[in-house]
Amino acid sequence: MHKKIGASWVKMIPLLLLAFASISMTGNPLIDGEMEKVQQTISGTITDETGSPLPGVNVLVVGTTIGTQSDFDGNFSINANQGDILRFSYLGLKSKDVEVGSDTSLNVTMEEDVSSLDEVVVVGYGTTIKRELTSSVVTVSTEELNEIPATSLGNAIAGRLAGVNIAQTNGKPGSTSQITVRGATSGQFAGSNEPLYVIDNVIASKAIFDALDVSEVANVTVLKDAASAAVYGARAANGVVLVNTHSGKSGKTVINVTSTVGTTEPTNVPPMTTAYQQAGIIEAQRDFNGVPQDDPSRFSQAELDYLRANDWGSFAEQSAKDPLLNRVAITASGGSEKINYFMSGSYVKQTGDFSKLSYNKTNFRAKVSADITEDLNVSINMNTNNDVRDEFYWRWNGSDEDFGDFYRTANRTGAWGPGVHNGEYVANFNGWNPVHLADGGAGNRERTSRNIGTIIDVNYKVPFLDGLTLGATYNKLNIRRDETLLRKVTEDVTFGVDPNNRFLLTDEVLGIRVRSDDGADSDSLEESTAEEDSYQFNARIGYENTFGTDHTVNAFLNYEVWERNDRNFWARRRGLQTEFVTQLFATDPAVESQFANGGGAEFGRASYIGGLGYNYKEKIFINSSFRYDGSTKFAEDERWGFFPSLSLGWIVTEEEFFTSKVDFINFFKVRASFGTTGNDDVGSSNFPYIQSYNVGGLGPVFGENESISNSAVIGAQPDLFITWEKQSSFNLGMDFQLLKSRLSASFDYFNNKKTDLYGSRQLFIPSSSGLTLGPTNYGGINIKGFEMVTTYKDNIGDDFYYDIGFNLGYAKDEYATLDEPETRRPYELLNGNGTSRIFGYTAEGIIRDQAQLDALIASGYKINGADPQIGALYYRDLRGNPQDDPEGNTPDGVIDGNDQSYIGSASTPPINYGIRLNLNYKRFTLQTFAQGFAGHQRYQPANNRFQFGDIGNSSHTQWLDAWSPDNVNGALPRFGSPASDWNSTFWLQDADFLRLKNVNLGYDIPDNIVSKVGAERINIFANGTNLFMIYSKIDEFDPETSGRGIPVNKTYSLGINVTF
Amino acid sequence: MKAKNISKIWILCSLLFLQCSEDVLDKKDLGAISSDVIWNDPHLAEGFLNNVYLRALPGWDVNASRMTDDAQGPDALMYGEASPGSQTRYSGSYNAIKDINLLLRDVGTGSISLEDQDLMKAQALFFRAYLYFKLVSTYGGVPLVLEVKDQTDVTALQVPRNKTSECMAQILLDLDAAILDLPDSYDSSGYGRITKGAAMAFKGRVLLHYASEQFDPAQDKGRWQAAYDANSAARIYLESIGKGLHPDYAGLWFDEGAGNVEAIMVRNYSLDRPHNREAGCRPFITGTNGESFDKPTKQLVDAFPMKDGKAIDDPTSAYTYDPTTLWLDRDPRFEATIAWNGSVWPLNNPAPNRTSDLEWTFQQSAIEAGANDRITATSFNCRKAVDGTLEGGAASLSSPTDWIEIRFAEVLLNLAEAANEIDNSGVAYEVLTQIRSRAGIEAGGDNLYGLQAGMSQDQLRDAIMLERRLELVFEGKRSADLRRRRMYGTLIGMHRYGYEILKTAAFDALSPTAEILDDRKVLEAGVLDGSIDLNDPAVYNTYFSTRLRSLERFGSVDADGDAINYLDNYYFYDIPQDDLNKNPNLTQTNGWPGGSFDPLQ
Repeated sequence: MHKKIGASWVKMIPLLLLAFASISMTGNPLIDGEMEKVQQTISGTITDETGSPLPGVNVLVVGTTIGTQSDFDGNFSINANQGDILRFSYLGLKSKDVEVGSDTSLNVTMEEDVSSLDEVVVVGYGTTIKRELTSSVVTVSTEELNEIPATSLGNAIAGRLAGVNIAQTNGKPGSTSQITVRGATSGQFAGSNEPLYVIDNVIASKAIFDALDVSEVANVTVLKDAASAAVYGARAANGVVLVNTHSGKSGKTVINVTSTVGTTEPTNVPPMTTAYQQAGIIEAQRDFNGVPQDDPSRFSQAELDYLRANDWGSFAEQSAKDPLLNRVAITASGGSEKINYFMSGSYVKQTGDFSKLSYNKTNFRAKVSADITEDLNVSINMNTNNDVRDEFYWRWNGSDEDFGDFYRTANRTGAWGPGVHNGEYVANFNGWNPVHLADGGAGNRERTSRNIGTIIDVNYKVPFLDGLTLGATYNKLNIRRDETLLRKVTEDVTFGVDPNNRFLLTDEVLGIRVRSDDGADSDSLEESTAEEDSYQFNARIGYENTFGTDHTVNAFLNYEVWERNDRNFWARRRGLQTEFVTQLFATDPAVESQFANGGGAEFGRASYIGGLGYNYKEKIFINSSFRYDGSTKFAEDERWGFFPSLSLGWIVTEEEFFTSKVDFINFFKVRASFGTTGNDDVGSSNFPYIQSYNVGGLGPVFGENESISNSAVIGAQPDLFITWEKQSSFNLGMDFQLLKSRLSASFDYFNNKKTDLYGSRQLFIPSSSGLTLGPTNYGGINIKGFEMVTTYKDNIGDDFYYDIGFNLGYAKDEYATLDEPETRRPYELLNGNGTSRIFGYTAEGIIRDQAQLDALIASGYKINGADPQIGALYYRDLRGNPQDDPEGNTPDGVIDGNDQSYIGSASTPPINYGIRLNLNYKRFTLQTFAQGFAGHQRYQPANNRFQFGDIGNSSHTQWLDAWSPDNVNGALPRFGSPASDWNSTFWLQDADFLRLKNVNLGYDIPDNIVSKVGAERINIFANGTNLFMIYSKIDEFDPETSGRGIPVNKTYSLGINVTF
Repeated sequence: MKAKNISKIWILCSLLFLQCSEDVLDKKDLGAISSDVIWNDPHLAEGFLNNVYLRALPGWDVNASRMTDDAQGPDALMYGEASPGSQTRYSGSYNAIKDINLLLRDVGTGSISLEDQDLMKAQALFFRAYLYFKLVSTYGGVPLVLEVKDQTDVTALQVPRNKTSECMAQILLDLDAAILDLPDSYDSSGYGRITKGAAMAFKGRVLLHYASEQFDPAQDKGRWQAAYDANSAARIYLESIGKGLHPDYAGLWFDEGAGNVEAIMVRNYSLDRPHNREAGCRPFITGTNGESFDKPTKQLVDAFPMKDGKAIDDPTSAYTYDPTTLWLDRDPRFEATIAWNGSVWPLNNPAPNRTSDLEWTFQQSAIEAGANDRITATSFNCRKAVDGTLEGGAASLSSPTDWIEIRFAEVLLNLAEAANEIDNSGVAYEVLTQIRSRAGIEAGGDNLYGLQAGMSQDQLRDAIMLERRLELVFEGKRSADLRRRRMYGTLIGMHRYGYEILKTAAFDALSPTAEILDDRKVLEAGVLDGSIDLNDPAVYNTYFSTRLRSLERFGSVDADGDAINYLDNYYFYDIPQDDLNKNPNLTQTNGWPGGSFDPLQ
């Protein structure tokens, strides 16, 4: 290089001499025009950011008509003078101007134009560009998510999509997020409010969505209004989540490796009292109740001293382990002229707060796309996901995915003594030992889930008619879930205690406490497997053409079928012969210890899908679509549903009259859409219109040998008329860009009306008939709201770039049609009100002194039939019982169930929003993202309110500031006072919060080091998720969680990302 | 490949798939079967009948004794605080009745043999009678629905209540029809199904109830005669097929199967379909749960006579009752029913909780800290029908002991009661002496087993009711008797009592260590080798001090708490408002808000 530069300087010596000569005359040699005289041939290669050559790039000498295009390998050659500006342009990439210097060789790297309105947006059964969109769609590209070590895709995209509410409610390893679109709710009705998931154009499920790894996903798009979702009409009433996985690109091979190592800790564990603190609470309660000081149950000074000196922590703390979070993802892509490929593999492992709690996931994907002929492209996309959840077993967890009952009890107990003493699990103080359970003492449950899918996609351009395409997609999907459940009899040891100290364990073993919670199955091994086999076939014809210069028309028609077969099998054997071999064969061989069961199911759907679009001069757009769906869920006469939509868009900035007057607006589009969508996820069975009998259940025991007989139970009464739930949606939106397109924004208003919701009518059928009226399609819920998305991107100097984004969604729902019992009084009515209002008492406060108490008693105030007590909460008397107070507005002096009312407007947040701030300075990048919810309320969970005044339990530390004769201004009512834990305004809090969801600080290692190891780019990064609450109205628990299960985690991780 | 060919293939493919689109939606419910299959397969039809058994056949009722003076258990009803619609039997019973009606209608629509049909119908009819009788006992007359109706015509379903007498007539009609077709017994695989004998005995029970004051405060002798006839027929029939009293009063519960001559109507349990009564009856100190099932009161303890059949305060008794060693020289049924502090009760519970066959109910007798509230509040445990050979220790101990809903002893006592009411005291004496003889009470010189000779009708009625209470104790019959004969009035104002037993300093001194358990073990060793005689009141009181304690709500050793206050309108309960709402023609029972239906008609 150095030599070359030297050589060109030699050439320029005469010019320099001339220039120096002129300095004295002009004093400004730099703008001397003499250089223009040198014309030369400039040649080089044009590549994209990944190094792939870009064919077909326009190269123009600015100010002239001289131009050329790059060839297939990205090479170009053009004649230009020194000082000329060469402009490189290509659709979807940022135009680039380069001044011609003395060098005749010029290699150009072009960047994708990410802020462009020409960004490709995936919509159902096709793509469009953002500029031409007429419906309400939001997209998140996963590029900026790749470094977040999330175990599920939903967790990674939380908060990044306006109008899409994604909340993670617990922190168990592998836990996923709940996703709802535009406040979708079914209120009291039976239907689902889950959006539809579509992955690579194949209708999938939430489980498959969650199983994806960020590295294999290109983007996630959410179709929010009926116009975009109607092509999925059948089940699109709650929105559609579309996922597109990465595809290969022709050109240089790119290999990317991301690896992170991290750890987690709970965001907010409700803090509990120590045993010593709790002993104080208990003693105060005894003092109040007049328990004599010499009562044997009282704590001795020796005991108190001992408890003060020994703080074991709750069982949850005693059994806590350091969790680990690892993720490795490798992708490779590339291709030649006719074939391109993408391959990825990823592995995530997360361990939890307890030793027997872990999750791991392995994903592979391979996608090859080949141009078999000029007009025929075939691609094959194969993938597998495998995940394994390993959890300790405890019967009362049941199907409780967040271990809520276990966790809250483990967090509330244990502070009174060690969980392990002399190497044995201790049974003293509590009837259970969570430390033992968390170590797998009662057994273990391992669940594996494996998806294998293949998508073959064929696209054919019909050569004899321009714009006509044919296509077919076939997907085969096999999902298998296995479960191994080992159950053991748990034995804990009761130790003797010191005669003068009930809490000091001696070495004497008094007894063994045996827990066999599952009865005869407490010592058993169970293996189960469930398999779903499905295919989806789609055949389509499409046409797109421009007539003249102004009229562009596109149309498509699809036929789609889907069938699924399910099988499941289950076996259990009791009596494990050895704990070391957990296999069915190593169990009690007796016939009466062996059990098995199995079954199957089949489903099908057929659909016709079509669309018609027209645009005029690329400024006025009209799109319409329909879907005609048949579902086996409904009887033949009710089977088919028709779901049409229409949408319009107008780019105002394409109109001369507008741009001539308003020049600071670079882009302005208004759009409107209307359509209907449906939902067939209704009814409790797969065939709700057929009278069925269920056999296989256990009958009574008969016979001398006491065998269980068979039973046949009549199924639910069929509903011959069950049909689709429907939603009609109206959407009005606008998109604009200001300030030289640095600021872009979108606004949407929507009004969704759900009808034919499936629910029970208030039509009575006498009990004496023995019949029960099943639900019917009749109900209605309205949901209205708006969304906004804004981004501002700019740079300060050449080294500092920034990008600020804000998105917000608001949705308000109400019952429009709902049968209500005649006995319901006005204050109880639901119609016209929100679906998630909160019912409870109105707390007036704490009865703080005798005078206040006397006055209340004197007024005849009774609570649950008893006199109020000092230190207790008291409630507002709103009304009497229905017989005496039909209108529900006459207080009766008695506090009972009649005095409850709706005290909270919503338990689900109507507002969710996200704030993004990305900074880029030289080699450093900082990405921060915050997610917020607002407008809803939460009760403090029951465990924060528990008041167990016995040894073995702890309380939330807020009870340390409870009312007592010595602390009359305490914040909480007297510990143990009656009715103080009722659901009331006292415990109801605004749950608004804004959480710093993710921070990622990255550094690009300088090229000279990178090139030494043969890499193209090496980025090291530090990542933190859920780091802290920027703002939260609730401190006592994490408002995003249930407040009882394993709390959501903070994650700290370090990682490296290498591109070769 | 040429483009033209490819497009041809594509078109062919799509035509093929369009062709099979009809099949795509032609799916079956693989998880269930249809009605025509059910009624063509006798095994499945029997499964449908089995499901009726599952819902209607009574089992161990661990809560019935709470509603009597026999056991501890505060209950809102006992204090006259029944909440509206407290009895929720209404709609559930009709669900089962609908299935019975469905079976009666459809069992003949398929290819099931007539013989099988008749047998299934007879069992179904029995249960229809059984369910209606439960309804009528609870509410008085209820709508008689005897066929399955179409749900679309709601007004046709809004049927009013039938008179109690009409319901009773239908119940007897169904029972008579069932008796006609039911067999004497089933083969060994059918043991536990309803037999002719069960239906006849149940008919006797129904008529006994109908003759009693609950249904007939005016006391019509005709009804008692009918009750006598039915029970007499049942007795004669049952004896003719070899039924009678089991020789072992305590052990009859564990003699399972057709060989048990006393079991007339049975519900089988097995370890795979167990009940949890055992877990709730076994003493907490043995390491089992010790929930408060059937904890005997002082009143029950005092009700048992002495070994010669005479009451504890009867001066003519040959035995002297001592309130400390109250277990000595009692009716042998006492020991078969009640476990006291220091009694010998072999239970298969593991060490270390279990240290000997001796039972303890004093405070702090359990190993577990803070467990006094789980030690029986009365100081007594129920040992009736508790199978000590089952391995205990687990909190959720499961028990396979069969429930005998009708024992031959009940048939006899029903007969005795009806006989007394129609002035046939001879049969009453005959039954009572037979029962007492089997119990092991001494016959006495007059062979009357402690019964007073020549009792008046009223005295004899009291004696019969006492005998029912003791013989059938903790079998759920006492609460039915109290309602049937309107005897709750005699309990009003009563407080149920038990004992609180504390260990003494002498107990603590038994072992030099500070462990209560060590003291207990020394005491047990002494009792078992005879060096400590707890049957000596002085010795017993050395180690234990005993105080009376009220078992009622807010009761304690210091306070009596709330008294029993069973209200008159509880003899026929209110129909739940929810069910009234669903049927405008349904009227509420007299004595309840808005009530206009007279259950005595």
